[in-house]
Amino acid sequence: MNPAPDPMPDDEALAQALHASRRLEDAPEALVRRAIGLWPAAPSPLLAALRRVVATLVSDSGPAPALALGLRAGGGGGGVRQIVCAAEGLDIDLRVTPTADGPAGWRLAGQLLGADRAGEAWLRAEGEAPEAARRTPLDVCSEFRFGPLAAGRWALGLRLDDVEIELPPIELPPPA
Amino acid sequence: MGSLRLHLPNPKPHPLPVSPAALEPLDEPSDAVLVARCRAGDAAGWTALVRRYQRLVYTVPRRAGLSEAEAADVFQTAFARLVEHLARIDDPSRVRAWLVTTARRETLRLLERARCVVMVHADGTGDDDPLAGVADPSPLPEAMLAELQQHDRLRRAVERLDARARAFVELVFLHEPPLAYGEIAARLGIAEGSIGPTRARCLEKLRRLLAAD
Repeated sequence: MNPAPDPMPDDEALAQALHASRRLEDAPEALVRRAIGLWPAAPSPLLAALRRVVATLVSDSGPAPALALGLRAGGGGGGVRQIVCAAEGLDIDLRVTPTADGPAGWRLAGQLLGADRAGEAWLRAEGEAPEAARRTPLDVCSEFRFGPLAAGRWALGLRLDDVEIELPPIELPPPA
Repeated sequence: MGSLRLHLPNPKPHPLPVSPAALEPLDEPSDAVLVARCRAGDAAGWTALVRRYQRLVYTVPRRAGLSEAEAADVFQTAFARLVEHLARIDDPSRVRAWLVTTARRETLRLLERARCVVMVHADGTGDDDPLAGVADPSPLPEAMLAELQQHDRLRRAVERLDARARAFVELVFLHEPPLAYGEIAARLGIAEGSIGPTRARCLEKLRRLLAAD
């Protein structure tokens, strides 16, 4: 059964709604023009492909040097390891800590620094199919968290609006 | 404060018998048509979309208590996201709802971030009221957003009225502060006694436009 259509408003309801609509605010014209100007600066949506960017390592507080193909975490035994990578004008701050309770393993937390961007982070054991990746949205403070994680090599990435940032793989050793 | 709700009919639920000729000069492309034009690379389609929804998108953060500068950020972000997602919006006829949802999400992000900052400062600066400087942190309720969309539909219908009817409606219903009938009659060059019948005719035209929307 189809729902009954909404009744047309009578004169007084319409008049009251018109009065109430005065609370709608026009955007300043300069702001409107700036939004209109987004068009020529933007690539055609049909042509816009997701760009893939590889982040570079900026700093690594861990005691173990970065390996040739990855970053070794947790070498200090119990401390927080901080890794900073950069891509697309963003710094990506990563912190690797051992789990405090439950099964032995690691926790990985990260935050985007330098801009407020929406998107998600993904993580998967190296060699796993992309479909198997764990995904978590960036929160309002552009942070993300994964864990507990088993020892092994993990691939980590961020998917923002128009770009996918792949970070250097992270190697998590067996917990002490 | 009581909320004034206008239950406008859903688009095209039961069109009134309006002749196409009556609306033809004032007809405008649907959202779906504008999105299709944008997807085809037509900048004019984009301009029309921005102008169509500038008021609605700007009002969402303002109604949440954000400053003009913060509302400008939300506004810019919402339209930037629309440019990026135009090709992926499943139902182009729902671009209005898409924009409102995006503006709401960005508004809440700004409110939440402000609260994060205040919480950090409250830990060490000794502010007596850590939330004193923050806009209303309560989320924008769905009912308010629905009402804003209905009001925006109404205002767009006003813009599609013929010039005389539009001038009348703007003076009678939208002018701030409200004008006395004598002033309205003087400005429009009509007899004060004709305001009542003219009002009824203009509201009927609005109803037809809403039904055809």
